[in-house]
Parts: sequence; structure tokens; C-alpha cells
Amino acid sequence: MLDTALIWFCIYCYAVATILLLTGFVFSKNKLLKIAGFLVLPAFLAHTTLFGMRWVRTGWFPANGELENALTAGWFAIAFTVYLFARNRSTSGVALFTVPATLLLMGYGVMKAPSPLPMEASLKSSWLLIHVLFAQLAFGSYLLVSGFGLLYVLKDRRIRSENAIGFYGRFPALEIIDELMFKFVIYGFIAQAIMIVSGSIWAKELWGSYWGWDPVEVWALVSWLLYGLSIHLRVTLGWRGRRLAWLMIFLLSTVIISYWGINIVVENSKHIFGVVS
Amino acid sequence: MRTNKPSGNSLYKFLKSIRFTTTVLSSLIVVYFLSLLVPQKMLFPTAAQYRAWLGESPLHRLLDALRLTEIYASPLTMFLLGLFFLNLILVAVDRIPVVLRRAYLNGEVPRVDPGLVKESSSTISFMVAAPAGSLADRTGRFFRKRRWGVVTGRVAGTFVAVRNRLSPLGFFLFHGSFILCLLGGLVLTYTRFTGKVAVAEGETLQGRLDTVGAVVKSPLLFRKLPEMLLHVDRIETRYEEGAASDLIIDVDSVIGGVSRKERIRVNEPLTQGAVSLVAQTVGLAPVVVVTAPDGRVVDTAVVKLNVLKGHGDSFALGSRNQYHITVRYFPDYAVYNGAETSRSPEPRNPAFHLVIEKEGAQLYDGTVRLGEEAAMEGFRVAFKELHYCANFQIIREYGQWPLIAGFLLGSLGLIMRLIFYQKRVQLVVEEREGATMVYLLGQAEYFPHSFAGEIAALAADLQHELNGEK
Repeated sequence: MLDTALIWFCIYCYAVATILLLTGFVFSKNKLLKIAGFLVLPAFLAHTTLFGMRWVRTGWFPANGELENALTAGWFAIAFTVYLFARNRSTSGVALFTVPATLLLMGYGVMKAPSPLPMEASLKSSWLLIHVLFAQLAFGSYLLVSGFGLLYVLKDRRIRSENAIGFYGRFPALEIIDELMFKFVIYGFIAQAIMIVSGSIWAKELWGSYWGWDPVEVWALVSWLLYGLSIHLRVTLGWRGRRLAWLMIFLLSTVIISYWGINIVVENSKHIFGVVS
Repeated sequence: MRTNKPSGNSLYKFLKSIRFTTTVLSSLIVVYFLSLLVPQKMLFPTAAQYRAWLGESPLHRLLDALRLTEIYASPLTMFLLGLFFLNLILVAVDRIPVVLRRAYLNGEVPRVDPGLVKESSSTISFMVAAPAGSLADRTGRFFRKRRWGVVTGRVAGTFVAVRNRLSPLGFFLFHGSFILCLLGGLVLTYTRFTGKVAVAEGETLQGRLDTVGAVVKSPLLFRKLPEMLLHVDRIETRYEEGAASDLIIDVDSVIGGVSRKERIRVNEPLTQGAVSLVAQTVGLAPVVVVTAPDGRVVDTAVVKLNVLKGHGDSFALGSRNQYHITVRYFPDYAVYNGAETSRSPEPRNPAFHLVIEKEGAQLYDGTVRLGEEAAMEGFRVAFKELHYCANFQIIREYGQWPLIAGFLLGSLGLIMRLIFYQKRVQLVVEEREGATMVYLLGQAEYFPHSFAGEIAALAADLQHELNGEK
């Protein structure tokens, strides 16, 4: 009961915040962004309570079924956003990306599996925490990277078209956005590497081999290689600015496909666990 | 004037270039992407299903002929992986001097150009009321206290302060980890034996690994396989709200001469040296008793059936295996709207739907509970006791240590290189018109703009320190 109330409270808050953020950005209204920021905070508190409740109730890191995965992924995305907001309010523009993404994730989770699912034997492993924690840390960082990418593109376009910053003056300089974007790429890349490694060790215990070329594994590898390539493009070939920002926005799709897309379209992935909502 | 360079040199330069890395990586990504569009042979549950898929369309047969259904082992993928590792090795070797120089490990005294430092627009300078000669030690102490390394420059009065001096070595750890992973992967692949075996409660298996069950993959190296004795004492399945929440298998084993009493669970395989036994699924192993019309028991057998999760399975009975019996299992039998079903996966009310056929003719079609009998040509068949059987995957492989070492070194290398990235401050101290001037030019890998604030704060602190202000 409390679960349901908290879930819907979060969804409504994130929905209203999304509307305010979109309106604020489209019509250059600073005030709306501020209100959105203050709406996200109570939603994040409710989200944290929900996340903690699920963890305490089952004794396992919330990663069982679509709703728990959505809750966890969204929690990391919003936690990063709130952290940035607390450190430097000028970076809170990433909320334009992270809040709607969390809203969509939670909506999808609620639609697929509204109530808690029993924990299947194959998920009961100490590796669950490590594997999923780093997977969600990576997802949260990459979501932020895309958020910064979007912010970069919007600000850059405003400067180019109007030769004035105006509304976008409240956000960091383009060079700083570029560096923040890269910082979170690095964070996500390392977290994803640990996710792949821990998943591989877990797979050995569960399925008997470190790597089985399962579609989810292949996409995780493809996505990691692409982010690795983007790091090389920046560090070695000097990619910067709009080109890199667009690439970062695009690369998020590879993570979304790996985490959620494959299990929707592929039937024979080992990563579809027994309890299906 | 153009000069013709030897083509070998150009090829070498190309093979170690970042453009080549990008091309090979992009090609590998395309290949891996293709593997998601083309159904892969290994992902078909059975060989028969794969053959059926091949029969569906000429396109499927073409994909099979091109080996695109086994894309990860295809010559194209192997070729690309070969190029990738060649590039990796060439890049790593090529960068040895650069990395050593950046980590200040090549023995050279760094060259700091006082002119460049003083002229740079990013340089911070301040005046100190002390002779230049006395500042070297104090500046060194200041940086060392903050865990920066200090190297004296070639020109008098110049220094380089470095934070995370060894960070560039992370490059070798990360790129070397790929080599270790490749090595581990190759050893694993070529020494791997995979077999499958179903063992019922109370059953004992004994023999060489490749003789106790079905062989899935034979090793290409280290072909000699150890002997194994496996006795399954007990199998227990646990359920939670209709989901299989635990599987416990108590076994006695002797593998490679080592005797052990062990509990195997999902996620907790039995590992003895290079051999491991992974519990994959459980099946049923009922005791089937056949009684003759005069009441004599003519046959008793334990049959292993993969009938859990609603799957159907079959077995043969009779002196010439002339009776073909198809089984569907209902652990918690119920009939809803005329259809047979199970209320839960737990064995609360077990029942079997049996279809008995002989030479294509159906002799029986009905449902029996545990102990009840099904009649066929005067004989009666009953499932008397219900036991479980465990389906194990048996693996023998070597090479996990290079792989694990690769994993660890790779992660460590990434953290060293990308989180603890190098920050460097070039310092010039010189006396000018009776005063001592200190110039600082800060540089940080990856994040020069974010570093500007840090270097400004550092310069302010240094100024206070050198001027004796607190």
C-alpha cells in the first residue's frame, strides 16, 4: 500500500517536473526550472524510501523484475542530478534529460510489474549487488552524459543563432559542460567495465562459462566498446564540442538497448530470468 | 619535395595508428551488431530446432553457409580480433618511451622552458620576499605535503610538480589486460571440456569425465580428463510464491582423487581444481513399476524426465522398448474448465498425464496420480516413488587466472589512467630587480578548464607559504 502510494507520488512529481522543465527550456523561463528543482527533491526522498524499503524487505539489492530495475536505474539518475544540483546549481540543467528518463522508466516498470516479485534462485548471489550496482551506476552516469550533451547542443545553438547567451547564461560555459560530460563518460565507462567483469564471474558460477555471447552480453560489450571509442576520439583525435555531444546523446541508445531492449525483442537470452511479470 | 618512404614503414605506422584502431573496433562492433540480427546457432535450445530453422528458408541456409550463424567463431571475426590485438601490441610497444617520459621514469631531467612558462596566458605569477636560492626546498616541501612529486628541471630555478605521476602507466595495465584476457580466453577455449549429465537422487556415477554423460565439447589441448565419482544424496527444491527460490543438491564426490562432501546450489557450483559441476536444472526421476496381468512385477526402472516447467517428455518401456510413453507432469493437479492444469509448481498433488503408444497405436491416454496405475494390454504401469534428478554441466578448463588477472589489471589501469589522471605544474623561480618572482603554469590531462580553479588556489597557498603568511 505504502509502496504504491510512494511510486505514484514519485511518478506524479517527476511528471510535473518534466512539464516544468520542458516549458522552462522551450520558453526560457528560469522560474519554472527552479520550481522543477524543488519538486524533484521530495520525489527523490520518496524514491529513496521506496528503494530502501524494497531492499530491506527482500534482503536483496532491488533488481528483480522491471519495476525494481526501473526504480534502481531511476534512483541513480536522480541521485546524480541532485548531487550536481547541491554542488553547483548551474549544472542542474541535466535534469531536462534525467527527470523525463526516470519518469519513462518508472512508468514502464509500473506497467510491467506493479507488485513485488518473488526472488528466483538464479538471482540469489552476492554478485547481484556488484553487477547490478555498477550497471546502474553506469546507466546513471551515461544518462547524465547525454543530459550534458543535450545542454551543450542547446546552449551552443543559442550562441550560434543569436550570438547571445541569455537564458543559457545560467548554465556552465561550454568548455565546462564538455569536461563534465567527459568526467561522467569516464565514470560510466569504468562502472560498465566492472559490471561486465563482475557479470562474467557471476556467469561462470551460474551458467558455467565466463562469456556465452548472449545477446545482452554482446550489446553490453558493443556499448562499452563504443564509449571506449568515444574516449579515444576525445583524447587522441581531439574530438570536442557539438560533434562529441551528439555522439554522447546517441550512445545512450546502446545502453538502453542492452539493458531493456534486448529482453523485449529476443526470446532466447539467458538474461531473461524465470520470474516474468 | 616529396620523398618516398619505404612501404613497410608506412604499413607499420598505419597499423599502430588510432585511425586503424577506430576502423578495427568499428568493424568488430558491426560484426557483433550483425550477430544480434542473425539468429546464432548456439542460442537454439536443441540441434533439431536449428535444423528446423534451416529448413524454413533458403536465406537461412545461405546464412549458415556463410557461417554468419556462428559469427563469433567465423574467420571474419577471428581476422578482426587478430588485427585488434596486433594494433594493441604495436600501440603499447610504440608508446613505451612516451609513457615512461610522462611518468618521469626515463631518467631524463625534465626540460622547463622559462620563457614559455612566463609568457603563457594561463601562467600565475607572484612575488616572494625571499632570495630565490632559499625557495627550492620550501617549494618542494609545499608540494610534497600535498602529495605532489617534485622534479628539478634542467635549467636552474625550474621545477616540475606532478600529481599522480605514475598515472600514465595505467595505459600499460589497461592495454596489457586485453592481452591477458585474450591469453586466458584462448587457454580456456582450447582446454575446455563440457559435458552434460543427469543424476537422480541416490544414483552414483563413476568414470572419466567424458564417459559419464553426453559430451558437448571436447578439449583440443590437455585431452586427458580426470576420473570422477559422483553420488547424489538428496535434492531439494524450494518455492516462494510460485517461483523456484532455491535448489539444494547434497553430493559426495571424488574428483581427481580428492574426496568431498558438498552442497551444490544455483550460483554455488562444486569446484575441484580445474573441474566444476554446475547445477543447471532439475527434472523428475520417478520409479516406474510395470505389473503383469498375474500380479508379477515385470519391470522396475528409474526414468529421468525433464517435465518441470510444463515441458513434456517421453521414455520407452518393454523388452524391445516397444512401448512409447509420453508424460506431462502436474505437480499440483487440478482441472479448470475441463482442462488439466497445476495450481502451483510445488508437488502438493502430483499427477502424470500419460499417453502410451505401441507401434503408432494408442493404448492409453489418461491421468494417474502417484501410485495409481495405467493399463496397457493387460499390463499396468504405475509411478511409485517421486524423486528428483539434477542436470549438471561438467566443465574442465584451465586459463582462468590470466583472465582474472586481466580483469583486475584492466580495472586498475582504467582507474589509474582516467580517475587519477596526471596534473602538472611547471615552476620557474627567478630573481628580478631585487625581488624573487615565482611563475606557475598548470596543466591537467583531460580537464584543463576545471583545473584552472585548483591551480589558482594552489598558487595562492604557495604564495602564502613562501611569504611566511598563514
